[in-house]
Amino acid sequence: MPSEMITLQLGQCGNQIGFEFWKRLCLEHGISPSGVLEDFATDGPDRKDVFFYQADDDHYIPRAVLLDLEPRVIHTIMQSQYAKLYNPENIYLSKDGGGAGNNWASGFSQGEKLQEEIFDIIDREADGSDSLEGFVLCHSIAGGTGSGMGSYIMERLSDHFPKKLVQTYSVFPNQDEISDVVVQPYNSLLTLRRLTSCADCVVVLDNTALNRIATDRLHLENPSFTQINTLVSTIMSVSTTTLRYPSYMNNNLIGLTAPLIPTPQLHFLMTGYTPLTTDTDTVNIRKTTVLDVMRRLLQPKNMMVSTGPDKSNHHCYISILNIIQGEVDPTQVHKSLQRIRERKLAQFIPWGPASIQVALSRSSPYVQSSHRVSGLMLANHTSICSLFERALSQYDKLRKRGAFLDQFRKEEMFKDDLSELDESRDVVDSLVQEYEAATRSDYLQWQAKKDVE
Amino acid sequence: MASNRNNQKNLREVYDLLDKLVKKFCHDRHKEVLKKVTTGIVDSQHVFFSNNQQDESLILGKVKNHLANKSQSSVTIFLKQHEELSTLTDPKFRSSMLTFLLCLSDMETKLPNTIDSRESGSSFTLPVRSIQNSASMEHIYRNITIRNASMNPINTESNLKLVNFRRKLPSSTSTDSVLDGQTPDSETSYNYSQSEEIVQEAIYALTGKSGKYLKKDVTGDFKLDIKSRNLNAQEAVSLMRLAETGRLHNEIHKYTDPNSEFFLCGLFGQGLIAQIQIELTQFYGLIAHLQDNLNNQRARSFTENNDSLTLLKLISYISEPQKRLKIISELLQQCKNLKGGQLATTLHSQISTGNSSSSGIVKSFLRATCRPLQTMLSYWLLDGEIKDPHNEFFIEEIKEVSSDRLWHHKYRIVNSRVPSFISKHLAHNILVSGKSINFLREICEDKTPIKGREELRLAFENNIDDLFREGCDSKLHDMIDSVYLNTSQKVLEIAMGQYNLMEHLHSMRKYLLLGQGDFIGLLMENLKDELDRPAKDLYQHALFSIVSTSIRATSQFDESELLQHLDVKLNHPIDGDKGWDIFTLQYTVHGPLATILEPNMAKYQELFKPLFKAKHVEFVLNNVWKEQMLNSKTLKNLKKTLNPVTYRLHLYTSEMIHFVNQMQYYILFEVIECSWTHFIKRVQNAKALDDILSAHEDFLNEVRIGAFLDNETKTTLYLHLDIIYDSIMKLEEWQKTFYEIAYKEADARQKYEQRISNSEKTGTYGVTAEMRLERDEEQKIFEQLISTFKKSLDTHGQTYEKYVNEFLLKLTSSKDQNLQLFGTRLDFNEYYKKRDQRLRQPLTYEHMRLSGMGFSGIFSRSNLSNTPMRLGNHLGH
Repeated sequence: MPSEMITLQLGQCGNQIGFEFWKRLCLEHGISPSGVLEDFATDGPDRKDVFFYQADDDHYIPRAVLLDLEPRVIHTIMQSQYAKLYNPENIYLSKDGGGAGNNWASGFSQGEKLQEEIFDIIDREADGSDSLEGFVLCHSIAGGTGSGMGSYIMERLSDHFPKKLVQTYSVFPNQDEISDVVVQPYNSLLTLRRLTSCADCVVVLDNTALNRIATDRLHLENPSFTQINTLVSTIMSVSTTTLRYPSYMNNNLIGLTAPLIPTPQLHFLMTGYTPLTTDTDTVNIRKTTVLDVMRRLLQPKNMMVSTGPDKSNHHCYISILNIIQGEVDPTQVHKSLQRIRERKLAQFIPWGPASIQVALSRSSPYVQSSHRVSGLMLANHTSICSLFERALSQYDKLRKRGAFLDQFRKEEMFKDDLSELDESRDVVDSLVQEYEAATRSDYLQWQAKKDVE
Repeated sequence: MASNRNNQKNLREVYDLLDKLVKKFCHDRHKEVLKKVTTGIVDSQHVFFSNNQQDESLILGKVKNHLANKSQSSVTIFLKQHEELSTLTDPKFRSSMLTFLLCLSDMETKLPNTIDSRESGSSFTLPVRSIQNSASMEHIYRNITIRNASMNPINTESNLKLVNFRRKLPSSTSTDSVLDGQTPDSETSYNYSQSEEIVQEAIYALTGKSGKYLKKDVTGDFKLDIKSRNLNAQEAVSLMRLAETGRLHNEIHKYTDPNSEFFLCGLFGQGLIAQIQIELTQFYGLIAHLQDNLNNQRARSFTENNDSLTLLKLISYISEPQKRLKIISELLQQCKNLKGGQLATTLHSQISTGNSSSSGIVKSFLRATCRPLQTMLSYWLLDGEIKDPHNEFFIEEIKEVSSDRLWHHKYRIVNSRVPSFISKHLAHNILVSGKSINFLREICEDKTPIKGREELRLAFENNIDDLFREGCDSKLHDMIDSVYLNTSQKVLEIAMGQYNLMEHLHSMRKYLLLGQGDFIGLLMENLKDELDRPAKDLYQHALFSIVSTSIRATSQFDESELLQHLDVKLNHPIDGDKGWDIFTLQYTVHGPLATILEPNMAKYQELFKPLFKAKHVEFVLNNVWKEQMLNSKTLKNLKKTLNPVTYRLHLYTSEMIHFVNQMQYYILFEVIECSWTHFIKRVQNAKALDDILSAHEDFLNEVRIGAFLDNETKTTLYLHLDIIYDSIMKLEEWQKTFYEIAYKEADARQKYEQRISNSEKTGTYGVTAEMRLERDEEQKIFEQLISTFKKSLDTHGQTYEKYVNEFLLKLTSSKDQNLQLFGTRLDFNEYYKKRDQRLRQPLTYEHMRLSGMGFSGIFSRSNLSNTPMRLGNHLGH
């Protein structure tokens, strides 16, 4: 089957959001928690084979590899009703079970040690697919396993599968609360470097924004992980919907990402979703139109990335893809686009043609939505660099004081010097600069200038 | 006489019937009356039992004569009754019945009182009291007449019959056959008075015969002969007036004459002729009656002369029929050389001239003319058969068309033959009804007769008049509508149900119009190696197996079914064509649907090509992009040298991706998807198969226009698009060589480094100066090469942008508003507009508004360009 995607879930966070993702996919495709196709779903028009394969007894198994260095989350998964869904051979738990101790370096070096076993699994999974298109990595950039081991695996994947795309769903830490992980800025920076140079497409899931949305928009006092993860799973499932319910366009990962990503580095995508409501909040005041949805998607408050205020108002969209689901009159779509253009609701890059692309996607017939129309925006926006700037400044604060570096020095990589950290800082800094440059019309010349320097 | 003997056996029965009849009317005296009647009948039994049919109008004339003697009003009542009767009964029985009643009325003179005879609801009173002519005389006369007539073989031509009648009509006083129509000149008239002679002359003239005074000239008009100079002026004028009627008679008569150039051909013509003959026969009946009167007058001429037939009387008698004949003659003049539907149309147009007396006649003519139409219609609507030996029916079957093209080509409406009273809509419904029946019978092999066939047939026969009515709410229209709905619904059900029409249309949309993106993506992937080869090296079967693999991989359930329909077709290659240029997917439908969908297949073929090309470009471009992404990781070491080129490359690529994506989006979504939505709506409301087919046709046409394949855009936009696509494809080649060189350099560098590290391990010194020089030289060459690549990329990119600018210019200056809007969306962030002066102007609101109102010719573009750009922009928002 074509265009298969293998999902790699790493660490506590990665496995949690992965778990939610698979839960959601099962629901949408009518697959029971044990992998059996429900009776009502036998003749759906969907493509289950992108994310699942069928075992000899015909039950559906996710093309997922679950990796962790500590057993807590995976044990929870294995005790849930979805335990039988996964291929047990694809679940890898480090033998010592000690975890990475929220240390990127530890995760990275453990990844190096365990690489043979891990890549055995990945290779086997890759062999099992007819024409593998790429990998989806779910992880957080702040912890130890997801960031450290994730970084290692990303580096290896491009060597191992030079022809496969790597897409990640990367969770960025919540800036609004004080993290108990003191080395988080180091972890983030080091992971960001790999995300910049090894991944082909990064979907940024910003915990700050997700939490804000949960409290401000969904009116949850103390949003739980599950609630946040529901948001995440929605984004993940909708962003893959054109792969799973193919229609005329954007039916594979390249088709989905190529129009969004103009140059190799500018591959960090932010997402927005509307309507954002909890299940209890279903009072519909009026008929939602495509224009409403597209307009709301352009509002910062619906974005799942907290970019902070753009004081100089210079940031702009590099590209936008709106995936619209629900009862939509196709003829309304281009009228809405015309309206958005006339009112200049979105500011675009000056150095190349850009526009809002729309993919009308079918949605699962088995999941009842209280909303007539819903939309997900995948956008490449230059303001995402504020996230990296924040990571940089936090890193700089810590680095200036030389704080908490001992844990890193214990590992092979940092034994001799901390050049890895400095190099990473350079990479991330250059990324920020590139995004800044991308707001200007001389983006192309900037690249040349930079090279001269 | 065998027939007579047979009838003898029925005498008992006849007697019983008579008994009943008489009892009914003459309750108390019935025995007496019955006796007389029976005697009378026995006296004249040859009249009653002769099997030969009497000419009805002849008898009618006599009855009229009989009644006229009594009172004119009873004649009118009788005629009315007779008309009613004639709609109810067979003419054969009717004439027998009339003969019988007439005879009874003759006998009734012998009865002391009146018999009031009634029959089947129609009644006419035959006064018995006074009949002017002597009863016995009349009786004998009739007996002779009828016997003579019956002894002769009845000629269908009623006028000939009249001649027969006249010939056989013996004068009661003389056995000389003086009334030989052919030779009136030679007749000796010693026993006629002068006025009688003129009256006789006039009567001859009425039937169009020349006489002593009246001669026909070459044109058929009557002229007074030289002999007529001894007539007085009044007589001459009267004769001329009567002769006019004769001329009209001749005029009319020639239309019924097979030897005449005016003869009305075809079944419609025959119908009309039949009606003409009825009219003429009525006229002859009158003449016969006049002649009768004249004869009687002659018989009595020596005794009483007070009631003699004069020219004036003749004129007054003839004035009504003359008017009628005039109307008919004028009517027929218009029908000259017409046939079929045109004949009916012409007649129909005369109904509403405002002349009430003529409209009745025209109606009866039209009715008669359309009798064959009625038969044809009922054959066609109920059985789908065309019975049309003279090519008059407005639906034509094209014999040469085989039944596999039945639905679209086998039957057609011949517009010139459609009578004006059948509206276009009605004609269409009629066509479809019969076509549907044929379709069901021949193609679907469903031979069940249509619902309520017999009922419908009867309804047709009884309601033919409704056809001519204004409006279309009559019963007949309803019938036709119901037949139409019945049959077309059935066809629709069969097509949609048994033959899964919609499923096929869905499949065609999915596979031929590339609605199934994942399939086409995989197909491209799988076909790439084959189609990259020269076109002439391709084999259809090899490609088909790739197609089927791709189908199997992407379709969930219907693969084997689907593969029966999907096929690969290779167009004839032109020199230099690659596989991509000639590859086409084809969808074949079998059975009845083939008949229906066949004409649209070519359109799908036409559409497939540009769609496939666009998809191919997208596919190539996506791979170009993927290469860049992946290579940027693997060629990290060469980043510094390559970046100035690769960044340019990335930007051009993303520009192209943007274009191709928007283009795809436009055609696949805005055009196809939106038209499809529209189409599905129409399908849901469809009442007949043709509703779906025309919706489908419209759908395809919209898509054709959207894909720039209509005549207007094909030469401009379509060709231009092709240029852009080709330009994009060139980037792939460029990139291929570019990365080849880059990888060669990367490899060389790697080897060089490896050699250094290897030699370091063995302890010898890294590389010789010679090797380093060589490496430096190589690197220099590489860098130079890269800079030439950069130049060629720049040129390529600039040319590409130039093409796109021109394309945008064409779009924005297009008259089609959809294209204008597409142009603005293609340049959503006004990137091209800012870079190309030419693009700014047409994008302004003013320009669009002006061109929309057709003023663009008045204000030249240079005028408009004076308007500040910002103003235009401002107005646009």
